[in-house]
Amino acid sequence: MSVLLVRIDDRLIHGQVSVGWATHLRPDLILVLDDEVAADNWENDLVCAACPDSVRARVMRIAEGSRFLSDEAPSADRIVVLLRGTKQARLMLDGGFRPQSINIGGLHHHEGSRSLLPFVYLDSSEVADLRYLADHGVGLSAQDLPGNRSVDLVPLLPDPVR
Amino acid sequence: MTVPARVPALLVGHGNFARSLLSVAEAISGPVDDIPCLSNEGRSPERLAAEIKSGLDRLGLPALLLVDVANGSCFAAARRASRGLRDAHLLTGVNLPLLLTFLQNRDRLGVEELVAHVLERGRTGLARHRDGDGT
Repeated sequence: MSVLLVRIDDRLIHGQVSVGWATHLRPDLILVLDDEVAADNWENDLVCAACPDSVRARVMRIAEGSRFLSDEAPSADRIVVLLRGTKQARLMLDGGFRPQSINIGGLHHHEGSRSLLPFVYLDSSEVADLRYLADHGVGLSAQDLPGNRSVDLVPLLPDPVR
Repeated sequence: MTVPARVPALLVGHGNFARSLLSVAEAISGPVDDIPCLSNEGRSPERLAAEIKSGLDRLGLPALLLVDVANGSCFAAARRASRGLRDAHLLTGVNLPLLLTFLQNRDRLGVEELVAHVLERGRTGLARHRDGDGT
């Protein structure tokens, strides 16, 4: 099993993932770690329907998915992991799976958020989550599509509020 | 004879898709002031879904929800906004022939007939025209 990409994207599976990244990385499996989607069959079907035909899609609860990814179960699968937000990434880390780096692919404008990049808006709790990930040795790069520039987010994170 | 009420619609797409498509349709068939256009640009998925939902609430049902492409983020927002609403007719792959057909027939046809008709015209608008093929 190899994890090709761990991505935070508030849209989960959508064009940039199913066309852009899937064409570039050729994964066997897109694994969505999300407790809300996992608990709702309607949402599960909607999210999985956006997956390209050549790739399998699966939704797991974060705790279950973190165990699955840290188990090192022998398998040939090439995996792209998707999380909808920083909170979910933090829960994944606490659940036992620590990737070398996480791609921030889309966190769009929302209440209380500030723009770091056109596709990365963070509020204070998201900044805290990302600091937590960085403090645990996880690299953070912002990149929407494979052909575009990757930006190291760690130096761009605002200082914690004192 | 009763004339069906005008079927309302909301246009949703990536970037400038909705606004641009409508402006081209307006250049062909005249001004339109009752089709709200929504974009994913600068909006979180939750906010886009909420705006589509409030748009549907304002327009009333039945209504058409015209979306650029299936399985994108605009589509997902439209699906979430219309979850459980049988009279919100979500159509994807919206193109100029579909939109023009909609504008020409929205005062004339009931919603079921209208949906069938615009889908048909949207599909037949997609074609190859080549010298020597007899078309």
